[in-house]
Amino acid sequence: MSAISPFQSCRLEFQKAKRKCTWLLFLALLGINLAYMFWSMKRADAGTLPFAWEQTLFCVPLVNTLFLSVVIAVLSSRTMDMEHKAGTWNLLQTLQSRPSIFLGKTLYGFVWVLLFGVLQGISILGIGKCLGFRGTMPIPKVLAVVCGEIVSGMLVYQIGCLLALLFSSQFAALSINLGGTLAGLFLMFVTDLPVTPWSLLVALRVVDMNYQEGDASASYEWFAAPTSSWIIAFLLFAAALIWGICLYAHMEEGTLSIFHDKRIRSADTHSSLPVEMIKLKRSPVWIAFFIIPIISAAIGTFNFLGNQGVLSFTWESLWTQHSLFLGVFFLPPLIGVLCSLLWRMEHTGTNWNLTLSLESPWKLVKDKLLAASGMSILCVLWIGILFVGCGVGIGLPSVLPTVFYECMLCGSISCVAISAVQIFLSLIIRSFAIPVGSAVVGSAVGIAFVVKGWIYALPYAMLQTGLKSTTLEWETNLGGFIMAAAAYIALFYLLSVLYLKRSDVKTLV
Amino acid sequence: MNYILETNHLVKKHGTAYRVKNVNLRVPEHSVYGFLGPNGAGKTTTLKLILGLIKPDEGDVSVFGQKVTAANRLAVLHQTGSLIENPGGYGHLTGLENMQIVQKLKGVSEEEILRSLKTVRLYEQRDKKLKNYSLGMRQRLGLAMALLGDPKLLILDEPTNGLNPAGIQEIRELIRSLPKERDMTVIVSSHLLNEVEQMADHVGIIHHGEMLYQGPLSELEKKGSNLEDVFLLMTGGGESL
Repeated sequence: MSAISPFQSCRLEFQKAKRKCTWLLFLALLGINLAYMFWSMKRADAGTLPFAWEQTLFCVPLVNTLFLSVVIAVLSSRTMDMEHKAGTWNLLQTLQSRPSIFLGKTLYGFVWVLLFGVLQGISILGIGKCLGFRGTMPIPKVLAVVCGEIVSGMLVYQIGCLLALLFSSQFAALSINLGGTLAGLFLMFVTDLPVTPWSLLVALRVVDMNYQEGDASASYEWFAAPTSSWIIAFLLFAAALIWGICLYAHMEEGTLSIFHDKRIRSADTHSSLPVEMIKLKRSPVWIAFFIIPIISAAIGTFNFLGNQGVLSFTWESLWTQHSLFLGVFFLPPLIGVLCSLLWRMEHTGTNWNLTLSLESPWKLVKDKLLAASGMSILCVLWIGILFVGCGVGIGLPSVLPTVFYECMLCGSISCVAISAVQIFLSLIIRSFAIPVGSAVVGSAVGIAFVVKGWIYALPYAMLQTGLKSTTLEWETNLGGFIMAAAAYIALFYLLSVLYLKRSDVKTLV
Repeated sequence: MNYILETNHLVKKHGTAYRVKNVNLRVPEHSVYGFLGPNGAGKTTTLKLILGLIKPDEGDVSVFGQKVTAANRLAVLHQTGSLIENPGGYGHLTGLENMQIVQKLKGVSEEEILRSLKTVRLYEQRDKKLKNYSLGMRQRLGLAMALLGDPKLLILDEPTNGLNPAGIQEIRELIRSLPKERDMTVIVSSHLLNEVEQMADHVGIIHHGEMLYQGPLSELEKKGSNLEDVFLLMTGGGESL
């Protein structure tokens, strides 16, 4: 038998991904990008705007720092998880060498990222032409943006693949990627160099923005990322590739657990934990809920202190800085990760036989929902504690504004609504990562809805409004808020139960 | 005769093909009922229909003399124990933790866990994670889960899968002892003829989703020299088990 070339291996990956509709992921990402470009240009009247090209090329990497990395994280998790779920690692390794598997999977990711990059480049130029941007087409700059996307996309992809390989439970890979994205955003404010895979896109930007604090306006100018940034980017890329091959060659799949197997000793048969809590043992998803708010608080406080020219030294201003990224972007997918984890245990093997012959769908969904909302509410409280801690630390007045308590309350309520939606999604979709990706897309759509004023049209929009992440102007309407949340919870609770009652169990044997 | 489990004209289709066709199971109380059939004959589908894990296209199921409906399904199931397909369980949890989950869901006392684990001789292994269990140990844990809470009816789908010869012997003895010692009725599905021959007193033979024979093993054996001959005769012989 001759060895399989990486290209053949890559083609096999495409064959394995049949009927997985991966293109939808990238279509959604492109859609988000296009919607954003159109929206910002419509506001600015593109034809007369002197910096239309610059503004577009500034915003695209920024948007993709968030969304591209999540889509890539989902892609990498699916590619690896497929093998975990099917239990095919043992089989594969008898058929092809480990480096060949790795290169196949890497090439597979590369094809997608390349395709996306090309489409992205064409769409930018197309939009510029359609809307009649001033000046000549900055083709080299667009190429540089696309190139940056490919390098950073591949880097995130490889890291995602390795994490997904090492931790068979996908929550670790996805949470680390979410945390990494947030940390990347943070480091963007600190240094211009691409120190994390997630801050690469911004470090390699082609446009710089100058913000005039006086009249609160922005101007853009072309910017060439220093050669050092490109060198670091390619070094990181090469390092990930080599590191990946080495790790692949020596690692056993899914054997790394976060807490190393210490001898477990049971004191007695008694456990006072409820069932869903026992199931969550040794899946330290709480670490993500603990750390991601810390990163967000760090960014918020840093930004707050650095921008005292435009921000006022008040609790309210600090709050918008603290909650912006969480409410708009990070909290929903984090809840998504938890919900996927909760259902994955039942989606595994023949566990549906076990669960459904012991529990009624009503109780099962209720318990899952309670576990998810409980954790999310704790997370909102933790965000509050961090906020107060930081505020006191930097010397804000000792009296908290009432709006803070409103945020806590509305934030918690909308988290429960989001949990209900995510519980439903993760129940009907067996993939771990797709519901998480849906949460990200939901949040993006939520931003548009909030701008339109349709704050109750999506739970994700409710979270942004309730946490007052984007604006403090919304007058808290607790009654309406609770009603809307209750409607979402009831609807998705019923849908989940109905789904369980109506469908036959599907087990993977 | 008193039947603890009856199914009436049970039908399950997959598209237009029948996976189970007009199955009328009659399981006498305090018996070990061997449910025989080649691979893909519809054994697991029937057992899943009984447990309400999948919904029948036609027909119904009665357990303990009452018709199983959506409303009383769980109440009935809490008096049954089951092990369907491969044993279930959560890989990242220990054997004991898995048992705790089932114990809480069944609402039985904690002492039962110990008794159950000791019955299948898994007590010493209780602190090991399930994913580190061998197939035989998983099978034992699945049995322990099914036995938890002393159910009146036990439904076991190929319970000796993955066990070694000594283990098979041991589980066979256990199953045989359950009707007398713990007042249970056991349904055991299998495609291993001699295994059923040694355990069961009643048998049902299913082939292509239809029941070919049902009744006491002793009567069946009158038709041929042994169960294997009868079985091969009935199922056309040519198919592998």
